[in-house]
Amino acid sequence: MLQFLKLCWRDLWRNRRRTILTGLVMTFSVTLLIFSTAIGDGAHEMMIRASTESFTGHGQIQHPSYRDDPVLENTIEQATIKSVRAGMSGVPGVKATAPRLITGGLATRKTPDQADPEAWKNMSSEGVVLLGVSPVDEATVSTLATSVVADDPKQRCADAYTAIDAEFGAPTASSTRACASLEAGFQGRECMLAARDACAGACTDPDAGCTSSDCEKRFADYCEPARFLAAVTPEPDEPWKGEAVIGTGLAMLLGVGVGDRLAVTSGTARGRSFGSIYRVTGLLKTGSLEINRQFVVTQHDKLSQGLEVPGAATQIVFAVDDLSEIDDIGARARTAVSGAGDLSVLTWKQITPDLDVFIKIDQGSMLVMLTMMVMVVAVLLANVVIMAGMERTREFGVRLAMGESPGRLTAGLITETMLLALLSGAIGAIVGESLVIYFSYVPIDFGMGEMESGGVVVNTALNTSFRLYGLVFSVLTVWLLALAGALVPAFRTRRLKPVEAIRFV
Amino acid sequence: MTTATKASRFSTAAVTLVLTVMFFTGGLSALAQETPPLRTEGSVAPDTGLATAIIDSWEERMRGDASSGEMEMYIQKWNRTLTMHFEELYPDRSLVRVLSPASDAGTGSLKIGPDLWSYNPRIDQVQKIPPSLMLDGWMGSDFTNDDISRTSSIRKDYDVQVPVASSVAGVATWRVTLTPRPESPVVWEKIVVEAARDDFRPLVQEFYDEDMKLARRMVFTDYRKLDDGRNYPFVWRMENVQEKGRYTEIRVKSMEFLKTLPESRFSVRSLKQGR
Repeated sequence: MLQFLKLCWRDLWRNRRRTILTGLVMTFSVTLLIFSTAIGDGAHEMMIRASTESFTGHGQIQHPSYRDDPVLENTIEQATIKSVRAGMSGVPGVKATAPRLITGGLATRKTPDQADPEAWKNMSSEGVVLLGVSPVDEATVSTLATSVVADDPKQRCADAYTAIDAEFGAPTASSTRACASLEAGFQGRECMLAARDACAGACTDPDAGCTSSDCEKRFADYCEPARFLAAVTPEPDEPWKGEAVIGTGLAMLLGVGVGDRLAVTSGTARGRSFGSIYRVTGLLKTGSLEINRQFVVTQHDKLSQGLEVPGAATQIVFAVDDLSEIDDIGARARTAVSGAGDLSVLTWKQITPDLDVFIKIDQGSMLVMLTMMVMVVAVLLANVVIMAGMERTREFGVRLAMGESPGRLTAGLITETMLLALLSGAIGAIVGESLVIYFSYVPIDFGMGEMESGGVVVNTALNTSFRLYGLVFSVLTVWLLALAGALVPAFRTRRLKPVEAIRFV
Repeated sequence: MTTATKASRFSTAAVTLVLTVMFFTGGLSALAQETPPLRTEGSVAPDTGLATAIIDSWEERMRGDASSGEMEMYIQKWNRTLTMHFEELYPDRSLVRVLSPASDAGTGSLKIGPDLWSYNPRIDQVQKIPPSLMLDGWMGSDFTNDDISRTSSIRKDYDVQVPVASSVAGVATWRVTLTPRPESPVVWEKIVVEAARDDFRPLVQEFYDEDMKLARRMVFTDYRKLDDGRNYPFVWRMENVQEKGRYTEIRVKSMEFLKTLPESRFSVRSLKQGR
């Protein structure tokens, strides 16, 4: 047997050029198939990530009635959240969980008294989505925390002067100069000194009920560069004031910047009105236009207190390690939380069914493309392998004439092809997967930047992603096609007459 | 000319506000001027003239030059009762302030023309209600901001149909159907009012949504004679038909029609300051 294999191997390299050419076609075919499956899967995974990780998450656990009736009564209570999160931490494949509370509200820039009735008439207020998050947990399930845009210290400086001028009537003559000469940024000692200067003339009237230290404190609101919410909630006992990050679009509509104060009113779970004042610590720019235009994000613990549902959450978002296993993980999560009460566990496919349908359609069209590619590869391989066999007709004739059995000839031909396919397949797999791994780190950029599709901004740079099935499928396809190709000349040798074959040119 | 002037007179505020808004804000059209005199024997013929007469009669009943009073609003959904003081200057200014419970005292609502503001004393902030929130509940009730702020007239936005004889709780009524004019920017696809046949006092009003399904129902009861001789409903109950058993009830505690109120009283400043 080993002898036979050795013979076949030697046979292969008797015509080096022919063998290398055939091998190259096989290698190329494997590489092509691996790469095209990877790029399709990569595009889909990227789409899912872009859509889920900016906000919705890979999956969510909700009160069963929340989807049909999204009100504060349909939230998950604090005790349940604890047991759900504990249960989820034991589910294989689940990376992290985070509670969130969502309600609607009305937001306005916090305004001091305005004498002009026109100002009230033109004041802008916007309906917003008020979202309470736990900052540390949130960072593990979405990219909200890293979506805060860098601020311009000069702008923040100018806003500080404008704000104290409006609220305290402090002189602002020096603001242009003070802000223009900024170098290191508007923070720390530099900012405190500016505050002292700017507030020197504020609140000179003792009856006005304010002091210049109030003014300095207010000015100091602007002394911190843009950031996400603080990990530790400041002043947890005062739910009506806190910090918030808001969408860039909303900030523009309301005329609010970093350091400014935002007034938000909302209805509590008991029908009362809950008003709160937030210091805006940063502006959010995410892939979702809805978030950019409507979201006010603040600390979960305070918001839940203010809304009279202390500690409760609208949803518990979870992130998974491998998105392709989401269905299995969803099923495992369902079992894990079933003890905590009646809850619905949703994967991104249920949360954004449109995306799921879109990806399924796209996968369908990719399958058609792949089928066509396999057909092209099949023709290519058949051509090469059959021709290589035909070329050897004379050789086979001689071997038959010398008494070699046709069966042995057939077996030899097939074995040779398989050996070659094995070698080429391995090389093709290595080359193909190297490309896949390379492009999973360095995206193929089509140079169109970001495009919005269905409310989600999609980057047009494509990433590939490694899939075992892609590798197996590609190698196996090429192998089978090569085998099929080899069968034609292999069985032709059985009908070969040595005399005619020797004369074959 | 007269049509225009009259049109701008009808509008709403506070208590009357809710009613008027829904019923008869707005103007007398040419039709209205052809209306036969009210409650004249023999004029009660089943044609649109009768329907117009019914709507106009309500308007006279519910409006004046100015009014002020106190009311209670019971919101069944939250099982809460708010006591409020209201002032209204026709056609389109009103100021409402919550007196109790203490947790809500000072909360207010101001309407000037088509604009609506609310005031939250806890954070000392006035907010203008944007168009996108017009269909949200007013102060957590089953009345919407739109109900409160709408100044366009029911007669301007809706066509009246020939009344049909009907009855409500044993009282003989005319059932008048109002359908929106094609270009009217209104929420309801159909409004039906049931008015007592004897004096045209409104008893029931029904609101139908775009699927022609009954969405809300307002019931007027407890008619009392005011000092000026008006027969006025002291209880208005807005039922949310789509959520069974849910309603908001306004109970008028005191109500007085005045000659006038100063316009300056209806300002953001007085909304913040309270009275």
